[in-house]
Amino acid sequence: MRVGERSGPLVASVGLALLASSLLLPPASLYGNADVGLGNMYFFLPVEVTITLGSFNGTATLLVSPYYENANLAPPIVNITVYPKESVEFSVPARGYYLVEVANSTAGVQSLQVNVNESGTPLDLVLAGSALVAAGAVLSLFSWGSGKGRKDPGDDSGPVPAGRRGPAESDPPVEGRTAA
Amino acid sequence: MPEIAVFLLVYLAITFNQVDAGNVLARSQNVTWDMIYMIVILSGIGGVKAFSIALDKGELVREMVASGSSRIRFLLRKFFSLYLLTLLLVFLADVAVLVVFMEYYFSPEVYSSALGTAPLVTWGVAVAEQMMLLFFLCSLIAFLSFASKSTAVSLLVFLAITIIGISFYRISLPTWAGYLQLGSGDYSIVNRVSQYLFFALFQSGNRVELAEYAANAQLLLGVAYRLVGGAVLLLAALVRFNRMDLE
Repeated sequence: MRVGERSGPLVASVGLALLASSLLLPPASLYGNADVGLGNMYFFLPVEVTITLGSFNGTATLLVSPYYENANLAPPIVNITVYPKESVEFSVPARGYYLVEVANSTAGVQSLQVNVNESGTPLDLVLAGSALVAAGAVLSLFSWGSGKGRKDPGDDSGPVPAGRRGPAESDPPVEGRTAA
Repeated sequence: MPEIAVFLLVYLAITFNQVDAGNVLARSQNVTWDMIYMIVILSGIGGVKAFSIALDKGELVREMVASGSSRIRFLLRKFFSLYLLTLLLVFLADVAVLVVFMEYYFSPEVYSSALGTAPLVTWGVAVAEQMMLLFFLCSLIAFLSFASKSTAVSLLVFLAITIIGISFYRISLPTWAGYLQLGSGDYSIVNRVSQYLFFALFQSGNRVELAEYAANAQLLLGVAYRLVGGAVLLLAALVRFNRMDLE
């Protein structure tokens, strides 16, 4: 197997898999308790996220911030006052870990029920998949073009250099071609 | 064939959506189990194509004569080309998992922390474990290809052994046998080793957890099954091929 000939289709296959998985990604949800005043870490894809808080008295502040280790929290992407059982929907800018914090609750409760739903198509995977498909197509075309440009030793249109011969039955196939 | 295998492996490895941060961090522990059927099919079809069908069509003998090397050296080269090719295809899916689920999108600051390094260590353990698993599977198909001489029989026996091996988790097994299962056992090995490494690297003072996840007899049995089992099967394949009448 010529590695160059197969690298284009292989790269394109990875891209197609990324595209397929991003388009067919099932929605995800997590239902549980969030500690009031403490951050709760989640992993969000760059899609639409809906957070619904449970029952409590008064109002609370919902903060969602990107989380980086060894660094201060980045400015929150969500900072909103919420009422009991209210849903907050927002778009996640980038894939990664986020800290969801419920603060300033006037209810004086220790923890709240939180329902996190995630749905949509992650655009970063769509872009990465499309880029890989395009790169694979370019590699395949390049490989095909350079293969066509090569002179066929068995071609009658020109002399075959002395000592060289065309492909024969006894020629050993290139290692790896029969491997898979 | 490699393109289809890569497509399915990457698709199976990353079609996963979890908002639970803990589950995402532990993603590498499950990746082999998620891909196990595809890994088995890839090794099986690749193996019979490389050994059984090639032997049937006389390609193996032609290649061996053309290479001018001894039978054992030729077969070892053939075996390792199959092994490395399947490893490369599975590794592509591992890289996709690393990029997609662990926020390694040009975030070098993440690497220096437990949050970044722990999943990276788990990922490394998963890749190393896959190397053992693929060695066992490639050795098994090599042995079966030369043991039966029939492509259909070798592939059928290979699929029977491996698929039954995968499905053992459905019935209640003694604990010691849990690590022998394909897929589920691979998950158990990666889980235990990565947990141990986590406590050894980041919480070395936690002797209770270190003792909890230290290597035990079941783990060693699971590793030996894949490594020693694979080596014995490869040796048996070499002996069988060396004594074969290839005329």
